[in-house]
Amino acid sequence: MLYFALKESVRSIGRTKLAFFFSLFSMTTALLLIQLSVIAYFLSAVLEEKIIETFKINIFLEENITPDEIKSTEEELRRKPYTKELEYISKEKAAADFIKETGEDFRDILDFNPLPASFTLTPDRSYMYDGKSEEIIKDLRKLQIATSIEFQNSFLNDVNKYMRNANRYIVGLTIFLIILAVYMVYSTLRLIIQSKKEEIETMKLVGASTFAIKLPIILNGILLGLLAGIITIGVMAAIHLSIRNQFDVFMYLNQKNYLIYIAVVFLIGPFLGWFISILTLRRVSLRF
Amino acid sequence: MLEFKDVEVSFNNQKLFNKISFAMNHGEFIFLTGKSGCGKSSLLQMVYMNLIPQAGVIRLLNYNSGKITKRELPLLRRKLGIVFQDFRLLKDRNVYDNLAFVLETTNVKSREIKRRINHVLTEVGLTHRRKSMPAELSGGEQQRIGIARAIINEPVLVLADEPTGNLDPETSLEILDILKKINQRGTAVIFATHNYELVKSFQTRTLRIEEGQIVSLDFGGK
Repeated sequence: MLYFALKESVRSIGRTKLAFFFSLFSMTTALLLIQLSVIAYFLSAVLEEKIIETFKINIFLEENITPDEIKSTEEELRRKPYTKELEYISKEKAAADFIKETGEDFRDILDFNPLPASFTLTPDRSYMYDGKSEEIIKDLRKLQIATSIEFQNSFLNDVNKYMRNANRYIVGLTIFLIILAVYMVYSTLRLIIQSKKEEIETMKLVGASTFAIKLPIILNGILLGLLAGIITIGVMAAIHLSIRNQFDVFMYLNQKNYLIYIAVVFLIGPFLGWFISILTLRRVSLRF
Repeated sequence: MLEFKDVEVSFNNQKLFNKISFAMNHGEFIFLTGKSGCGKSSLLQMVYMNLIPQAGVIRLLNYNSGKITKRELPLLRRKLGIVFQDFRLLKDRNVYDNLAFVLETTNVKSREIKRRINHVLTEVGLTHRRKSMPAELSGGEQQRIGIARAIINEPVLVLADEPTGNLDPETSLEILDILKKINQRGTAVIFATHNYELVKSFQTRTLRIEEGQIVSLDFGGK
């Protein structure tokens, strides 16, 4: 039965050349757009991570603090669950950094170093969402030797907000594209089924089961999805190779995300082909 | 083998059949006549249970029109052979593939497919046309292939719906002869036609559909 169904589904490609071509075109276009959406989704997540990683909290310390106080504060900060990295910047290092960055030596004018010693704390990523950063600031303000805490909290919140909105739009766009793909392929698959009307009627007459009647068309849909998937991967590979030097699309995808991407590309075509053919065949029954 | 009991069918509030009853035995040959549009095709459709009556019951072998399930319908149709006026051959494949299609659809093994195709082509005298496309065949030849397709599943009953409607009188007689031969080997045949000359030429049991009723005509029979 499977051999017969496969033979018939391949045969019908030859018989319904134009309708099959349109189905293939619709499916390939839809898959390309879906792929671009998936890549955009991953890239926005990577971008969000990169931006968030740049956020650091500066804890400025009082003048004349003792090395023991610095050591105990450092140990206390390292024990905090939100601390990912911590660096102590002495007054001397702060001055050296200032001179290096600005090229001006304030010691020519001042006979003291006005820059305070500080700790630079890089928070763990998980504390950068849902207003948790505010809790960190609140906690750090309790430090007795801290004079001020500097953190771009509102900017972080804006980044979070924009990224979430962007992801929402991308997911919405992907869903819209999938619906569009389903509709386009559904319309053209109906043409294929229409062209197979005689065969379907003959099959009904000679005692084929509904499954046997539907199987070649379902396989045709899966084959269509598979071909569209292969073409899409080819097109994406060509695009990637041509713009690789300017912008490597896949550079930021980690291994897990890359595997998800490959799986999506390989499976979504056949899955859509299967789903749409089932949808198109729902009215086929053994009656005429 | 086949029984219609008090069968009623209406279309758009108009009665097509009004409590019709008749029975048919294994190996019988019946002519079904009547004017165009009187319901000959609808009656045949009821036999292969494409049309289920609103009242009454049709029994064919162990199947009952009131109780038949979706799963049983293909099994019933495998016991029938159906021949149409317009042949209904698949135009994109040759004679051999048209016949093989029927058996492949019902999962018959390839060696058995070859054996049965050779057998039915011999039966209808068209072994030499196995590689021809339907368009290369005459009307009579196409109908013989239609008959070969109908008997390839070794049915107990062949339903022929105006099989000579598109053919000249001489070819019509040839088609009737083939169906008679098939009947003589034990397969029952219902031959729907409005060609009375053909009916008269073969004195057998004849049923006429007249104003929604079945009337037996006196042409003899088993």
